[in-house]
Amino acid sequence: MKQKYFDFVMDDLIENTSIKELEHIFINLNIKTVYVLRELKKKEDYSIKFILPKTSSNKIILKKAYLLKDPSLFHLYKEKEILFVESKSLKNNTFISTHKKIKFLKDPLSEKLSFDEQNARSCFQNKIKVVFDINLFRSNNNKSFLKQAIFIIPLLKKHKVDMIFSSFAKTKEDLVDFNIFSSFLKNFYLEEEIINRFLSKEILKLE
Amino acid sequence: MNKIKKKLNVIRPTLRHKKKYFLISYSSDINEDKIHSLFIKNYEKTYGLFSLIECNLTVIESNLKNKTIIIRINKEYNEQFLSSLFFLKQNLGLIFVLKQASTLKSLR
Repeated sequence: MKQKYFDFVMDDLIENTSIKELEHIFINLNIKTVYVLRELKKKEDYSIKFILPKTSSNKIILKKAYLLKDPSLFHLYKEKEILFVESKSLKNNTFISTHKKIKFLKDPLSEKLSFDEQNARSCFQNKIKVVFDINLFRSNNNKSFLKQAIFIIPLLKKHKVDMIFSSFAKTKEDLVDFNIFSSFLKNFYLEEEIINRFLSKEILKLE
Repeated sequence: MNKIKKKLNVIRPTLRHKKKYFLISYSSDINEDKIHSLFIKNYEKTYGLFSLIECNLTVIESNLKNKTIIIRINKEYNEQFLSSLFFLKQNLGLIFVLKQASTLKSLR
């Protein structure tokens, strides 16, 4: 039986592309659950209602998720949906990895290396999962991100920290076939069993 | 003087390089002349010249109407090839690996 995958996409994708076309793409990509992410940049964004479109078939499940741009606003979050907290700096990496309530750290990558062994250790202790936006690796200035990822991913593996790799697609071109995706992840010294575990929905379960 | 023509011995099937065939679809419009060099250049950029020579990447067939392409590669390099497709977003758009098989007959 083929493995069913999940993916996180930005709400821009849902707004700009018809749901029928997206459903067709997701079925072809073998994606069963799609989490639609809404960015929370400031305090006022919490009060805006977030409504998802209805899918015509039961083959695709759409779920809500949020992305917090500023970690200091975490205390305002009261929803039950998945919340990613964006890092992109050493200060934020340290804040998130030592936080007891934050469960997901998104993008430890930035212009310069900003994630160290202590951060990895803290992530393991606080059961924080590290989330990677794979489209960063496909951008034009991808070399520095790839270089950092080659250091960070084996470091997280060594410290037994769970990782999530997702497309965070804004356009349909940003989506990736999982055959290509899992082969790409092998470049980071990850074994096939570990990759399958990271790409399966089990990884999203909170302890 | 009569020259004796020597026949080249055919390589036994067990000694031949095993091949892998991929049926790939893409979403962008691209010229037929460019498509071959695109795969070659992208693979070379990702894994280098020596890997490119060894992998023996060949475009078997391309259908511009259906936006599909059949590619043959040495079996040991199939992971590298799939991985290199990751970087073709700007040129080919959304890429699907529709089918992979070890013979062209079973792929079709």
